[in-house]
Order: sequence, then C-alpha cells, then structure tokens
Amino acid sequence: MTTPAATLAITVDVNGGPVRVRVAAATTLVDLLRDRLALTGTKVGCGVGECGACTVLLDDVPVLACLVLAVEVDGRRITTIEDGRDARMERLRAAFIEEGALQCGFCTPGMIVAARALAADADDTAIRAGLAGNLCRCTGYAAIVRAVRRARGRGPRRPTRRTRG
Amino acid sequence: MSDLPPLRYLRPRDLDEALTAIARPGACIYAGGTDLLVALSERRAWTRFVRTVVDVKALDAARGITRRAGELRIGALTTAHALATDPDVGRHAAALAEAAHLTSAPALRRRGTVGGNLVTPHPAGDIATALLALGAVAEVADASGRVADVPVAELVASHARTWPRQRLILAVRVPRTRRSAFEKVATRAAFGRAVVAVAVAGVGPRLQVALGGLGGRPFVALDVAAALGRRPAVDGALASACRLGDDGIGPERLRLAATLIARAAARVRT
Repeated sequence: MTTPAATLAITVDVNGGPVRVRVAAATTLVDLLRDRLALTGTKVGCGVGECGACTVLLDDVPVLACLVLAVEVDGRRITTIEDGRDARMERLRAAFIEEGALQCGFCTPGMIVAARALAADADDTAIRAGLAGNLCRCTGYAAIVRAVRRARGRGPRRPTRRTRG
Repeated sequence: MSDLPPLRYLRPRDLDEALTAIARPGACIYAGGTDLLVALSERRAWTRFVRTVVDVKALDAARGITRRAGELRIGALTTAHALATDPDVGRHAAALAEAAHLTSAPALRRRGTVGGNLVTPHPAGDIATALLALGAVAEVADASGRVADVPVAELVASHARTWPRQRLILAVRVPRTRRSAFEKVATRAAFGRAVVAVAVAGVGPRLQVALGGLGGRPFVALDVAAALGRRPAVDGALASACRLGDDGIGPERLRLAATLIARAAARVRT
C-alpha cells in the first residue's frame, strides 16, 4: 500500500466467523465491533486506554479495542466476550455469576476477556497483576479475583449429553 | 463512539516505503498507538498536523531482539511485554526488563513499543529511564535511508515528539551488563505512573544512574552516580539534579529517590 487510504476493505475472523467489511481508517476496533457488527458486549469506558472495559483478544493476545485501528486487524483473529466456542470463557462467565463478581456489570466483559488471557494455572498474584488494567468502581475486586480463581479450579465443563440407550 | 479525527492509513512493507511514507505532509508514525490514538482523540495540539497514520508494524528492520558481542539490538517495534519476558533482556539488561514489567498494564504492554516510548517521552517513562542508565544508543534512519546512531540521552532530552518527523527509529542497542536494576514507587502498585523511578546500571567500570518522575522527562544523574554509596553526598547530588528539573519536588520525594537509588545500587553490587 503506497497511497494513503481513507477506507479499507478488511476480512477479520470474529469469534470464529469470517467478517468482510469496509471501514474508515479512523474507525477503532471497538467501534467496528459495537457499531458495525452489533457486538455490544465489549464496552467503551474511557476510550483512552485507562479502564480496560474494551479488552478483546487479538490473535489470543489481550488488547484495548479503543486503541487499535480496525484497518490493522485485516486477516487477524478477534475474540470478544460473545465468543460461544470457548470453554474457559464460558467457565469464567459462569463463575462471575456464581461469585456475584459484578454490580453494574460494565467492567465485566473486559475483566472476563482479560482473565481469559491469563495462564490457566494463574495464582492470585498473577490474577491481580493480569487484571491491573481493568478498573471496577463497584466491587472492590475481591469477588472478581475469587471468580477467576473459581473458574480456574474447575476441570473442563462437559456439555450435558443424553446417551441413547 | 471513539472520537478520532478523519485519518488516512498507510502500511509500508519495507524501509524504503516507510521513509517515503513518513516524508509525506501530514504523516505521523504509528506503531503501538497507545499514546498516538489517545492524543488524537483528545485533539492534543501537537497532533493537529496529522492527516495520515503510517503503520510501521510490518517493518522487519525494526523487529526482533538480537544478542551480539557486547550488546543487545532491540527492534523499535519490540513491545513492553516482549522486553519484560525475553530471557536475553532479563539476563543482559535486567533494568530494562524490570522497567518494562512495571510499566503500564498488561493489555497496553502488549502494544506499546520501545520506539514509541522514546518519541513520546512521558515524564515518568520507565523504559526510557532504564535505557538512559544502560547508556543505550538508537539507530535512526533519515529520509535518505542513511542510518545514524543517536544516544538515547540525546533523543529523550530533545523531546523527540517535536523532533524532525522524517526520521524513524529502527532499534536501540543496549550494552550488555549483568549489573543493572530498576526500582519504582508509583501512584498505585500496578498500572501507576512513577512518583520516582530509578535505574542503575554498571556500564564498563562505572555505575550510571537515571531518574524518572522527578522532572519534565527522565534524565541521567551523573553526580548522583559519582556519589553512590555515600548517602549524604547522594542526597546533595540528588537535590541539585532535581532542581534542574521541575518545581514541586518536595523533600519526601527526594528521600524516596535516595532510598530507591540505594536499593537499586545494592542489587547491582551484589
């Protein structure tokens, strides 16, 4: 590319499905997700990288979707809170509910996605360090750390299957 | 909705394309974006010229960490996360690994780069503070493609953001040393801006000290290094070094700085 582009057509894998879309160069990844793809689980808190509410995984690496341009993710993989394929994400979602690890819930998607990026055996120190960039104004974090620990402690949850006799 | 001004986007594939791209009027180098996108959306004055962001992340010339005789070459695109976790950086430039580990927050460390840390000098830039103590040199390409060595100290002192924009930092080269350490007290334990940051490094026979958070930008404190081990002398050198920086540095912060210097120097000596 040698001519500056005002818009670009990109192909992105979002939660396992290919998405082809034309975006303006000034569109951030979080705007692409929320406004164009209607994936409103990812939140915009501060919009300037302070709060972590917009955390998503870019090729399995946690990034702040408010500080990534949509044009950059062409050909790459995005995982959001809506990802329904991933057993660890599902365990985290369930554990946050069971531990009551949310009040207003605005930080929760970012918390869960950031926690999903942690090593499966992360201890409490690693959990706290891993969530350092995710701000919660309601809970005081204790229940959040408990929820991440709870999700970690579980073996992979198997979907209930009826066996035919 | 984010609030970026209208922009155009360029993603050069090699150094020639990149140098042509950044020479265009209104072009601004774009790497990790953790500073630039914030500045653009907040309409900071220095971004008024920006019409095109030149995404340099595909440049192989600015990638990777290479161990060489006597030094590490660290591509300017290396992220803080990579610095914090790379075994060679941990072994041969520990202050840099520690600074990278203590800077910012996980998702930002995955994006913020070494090059960006040098051209958008934060008063408390942890990575810049470590590079200063280690006596690092930057490889800088100009519009003609010529690559020159610029000491990081010069880069940071010149407030690189207002520096000629047609230059591109390709890498930093850091002298290898087994004796370096970084200490920081921040506004909070994690994701906090340094109240005081200290890097101490043994470069050749002497120790170098760099300070962050105590002025408009991180700086090398030569007199402090000369006084190491003699606390009253350190205090004196520190007080005069900081008077050169900003106002508003009280005696508590100077005491804190002296304590962190002693702590880092002790780790370097052992």
